[in-house]
Amino acid sequence: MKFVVNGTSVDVSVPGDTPLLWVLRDHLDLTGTKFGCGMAQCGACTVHLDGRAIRSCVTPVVEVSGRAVRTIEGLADGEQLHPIQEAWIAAAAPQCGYCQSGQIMSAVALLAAVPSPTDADIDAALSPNLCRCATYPRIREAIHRAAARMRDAG
Amino acid sequence: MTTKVPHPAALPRNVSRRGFLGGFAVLVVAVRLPSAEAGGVTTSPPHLTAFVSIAADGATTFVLPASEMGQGVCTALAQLIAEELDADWAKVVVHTGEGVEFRRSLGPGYTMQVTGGSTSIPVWRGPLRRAGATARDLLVRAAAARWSAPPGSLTTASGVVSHPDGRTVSYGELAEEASRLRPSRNPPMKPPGTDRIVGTSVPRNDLRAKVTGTAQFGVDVRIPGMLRACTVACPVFGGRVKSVDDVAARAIAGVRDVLVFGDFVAVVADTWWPAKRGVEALNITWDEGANAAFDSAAVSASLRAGLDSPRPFVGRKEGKGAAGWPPEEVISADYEVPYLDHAPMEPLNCTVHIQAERCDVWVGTQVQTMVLQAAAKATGLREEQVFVHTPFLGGGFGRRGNNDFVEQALAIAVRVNAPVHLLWTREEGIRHGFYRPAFAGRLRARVASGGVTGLHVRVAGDNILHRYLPKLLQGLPLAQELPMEGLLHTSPYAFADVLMEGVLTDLPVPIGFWRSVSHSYTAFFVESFLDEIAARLGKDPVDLRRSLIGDSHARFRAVLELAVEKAGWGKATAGAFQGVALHESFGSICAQVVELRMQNGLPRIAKVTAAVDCGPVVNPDVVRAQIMGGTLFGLSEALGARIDFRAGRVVQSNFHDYPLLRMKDAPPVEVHIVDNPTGTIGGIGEIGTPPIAPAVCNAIFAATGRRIRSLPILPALARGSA
Repeated sequence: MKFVVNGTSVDVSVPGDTPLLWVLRDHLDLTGTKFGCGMAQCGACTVHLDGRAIRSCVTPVVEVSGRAVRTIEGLADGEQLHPIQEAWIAAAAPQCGYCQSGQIMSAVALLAAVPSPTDADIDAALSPNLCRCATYPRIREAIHRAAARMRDAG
Repeated sequence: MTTKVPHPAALPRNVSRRGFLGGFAVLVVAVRLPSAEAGGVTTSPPHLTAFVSIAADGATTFVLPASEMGQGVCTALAQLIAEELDADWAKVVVHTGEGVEFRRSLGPGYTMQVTGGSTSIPVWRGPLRRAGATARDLLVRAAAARWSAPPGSLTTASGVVSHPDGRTVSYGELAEEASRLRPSRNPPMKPPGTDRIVGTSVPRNDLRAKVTGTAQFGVDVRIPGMLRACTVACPVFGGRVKSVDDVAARAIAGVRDVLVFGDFVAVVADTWWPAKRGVEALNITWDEGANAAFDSAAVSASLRAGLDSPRPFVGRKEGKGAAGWPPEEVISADYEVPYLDHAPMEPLNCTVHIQAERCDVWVGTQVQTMVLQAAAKATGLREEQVFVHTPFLGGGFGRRGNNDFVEQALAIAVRVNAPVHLLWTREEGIRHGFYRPAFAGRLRARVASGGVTGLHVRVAGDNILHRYLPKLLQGLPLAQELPMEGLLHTSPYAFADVLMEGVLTDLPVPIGFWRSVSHSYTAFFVESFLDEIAARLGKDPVDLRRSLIGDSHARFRAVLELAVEKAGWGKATAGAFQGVALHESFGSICAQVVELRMQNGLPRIAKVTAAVDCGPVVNPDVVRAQIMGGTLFGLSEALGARIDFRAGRVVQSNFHDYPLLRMKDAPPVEVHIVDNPTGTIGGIGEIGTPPIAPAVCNAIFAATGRRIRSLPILPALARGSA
């Protein structure tokens, strides 16, 4: 099975019905993407497939054959963090941190589609992502903050 | 919880030091709790240890004595030690502890390393400040020796010692010399009011790792040659494996073995996905045991019978208790709360590597010492040969204070000739919890001539401590008081007559410490019922509380007043309604005002305004985050979550039927901190949770006239009756 992860071509030999999540974590050692529920209920496993946010725990790897996957490890440019990651730090959003990779991937996909999201847009895009520490208000703040900065940066 | 109490003669010295890593980290200071120093016999809090070390390049390493599970200890505890050390904060590195190192530094006198009960800051503030001061004193004396100057003439700041004549030397340069000096038992401490790191919102030091996916949780541990395991335990508590047909499981590519234990079966594979598929392919016949017919109706029946018990335990009695109240002056209501699961986002997991003379365990745990003991027992190794490594915890909330999944991993590892990583499914986690116990409450008040003069509360449910205490000790008042937390001396309200009673039930459900423990329901019972009293008396709920707060609980007044002032009590926007609640837990007091409006019969919470008094504050932003998170954690359970039983099994299994709060339903939480720098320091991780359910229910009552007496709220509203 060949596909692209964070700009790099990979070739894994696994049964096609293996969820993308476990290919990323156990075969490619990309452990930033997390397992939370296994049934697309919590969003901890959110990655991008051709730019769209998907739940990798219910995505058979055969579906990503020949396509481009982006994970949390692919956001920063070397030491330079993505503006959303910087906004997350400025808002001190994470607590335990386990869900945050998925939250951030959902937020990146949202801002790519809707550069100036309303609270309702954030509700719609981020409600698939659970946070047991309930950091939601700070995540909302971080998204607004990142949107403003990305607009300013043009 | 078992706590090993050291014999005074076996105690190590208050402060010890040693060089290690061949001069790389040359100054090491270990500390002990004061109770242990004095040889005092204590069972709580447990004795812990911590390190600070300084390398030649100035890198200051602090090894965490507590587990970082989101509550911010890897920052706040480091602030304490850095403050007295006058460390360069930019050079402080925190290692999320390897539990065994703490014990090894102390010799045989160690007790429990545990994170829970909102104790990390209250327990560690003194010892860590003293450890920092001890290290600073060594460095100053080393500089004094170098310069032949009186130590008292030297000053320190940001990792540098300065001479009055302008000469300076860095801590890193001094560390080796300092490590050869004898530590002082009474190092100079900073005078009050001079802190520059403690009391400020320095950014959490785990943020970058947690936004880049590089933070290592237990689930991310990778050992060369490691196999993965998935388990399924008997779905009925107390049941056993009778027989297993594993032909289909073994046929799955990647599956290495199927192991049968007393009450669970494990599938071991090269990676986790085939292990999980292997578990699904097992055909297991269970001996379901005595609880095969247990269901939620039996829970309610048992709790209700408890409320009618003729022999309650009396936890608190003032005045005439509840005796002689004229029936026409008594109002009464029964309340009930369900079992709840912790459901941390990181599914339970544990990695074990057993070698000839050594066992390593990597696990997100709140109880390193219990892990260590379990590993020694399972492997037959000595405790000195066990190494417990603590990565970040993807949430704890009390669940990771249990060792069940660790014992499974150890049992598997003993039978597999390779390192093993056990990872539970979410379903296994929800169905095999140590749940917040279901509880019922019967509340009675004596109201007459415009006032309330008596309060009588009886609670019925199981006692978590029975897991840890031998039968002989279970009847001790101290043990019986646990399910009544929040009803006893911490309750702020004064009445002429008070009677607080507890009745013990005996249900076959594993229970455990869940964020805020008994406060999670006693606050709901009492703070809801106070509003029932206010309604009966025609009084404003805040005014009623003001009039009832006793003189010995004056701290509560400031918290309540701050919350109602900031919330604009009585000035809700048109169509919105407010509810209030006030509760002390773990030494801190929290008041909350909820503002909500009803839409299509359901509450939409517009905002929560919280005020908190936790005494001195180490990191205000962490306090605000914890109150926000604790509040919304409680809201999650108040609204929709419950654990039910049918045919001996937990009904719920994953987040589709154990619904947690999501972004669209999460209101902003505005947190205001009472300025109380000289007060007694309290906890913060659990404090926000207790008041939110009653505050929401009180606001729903204000909006609709309907009183919610059983949680969760949404099903109660849907039923159309309280």
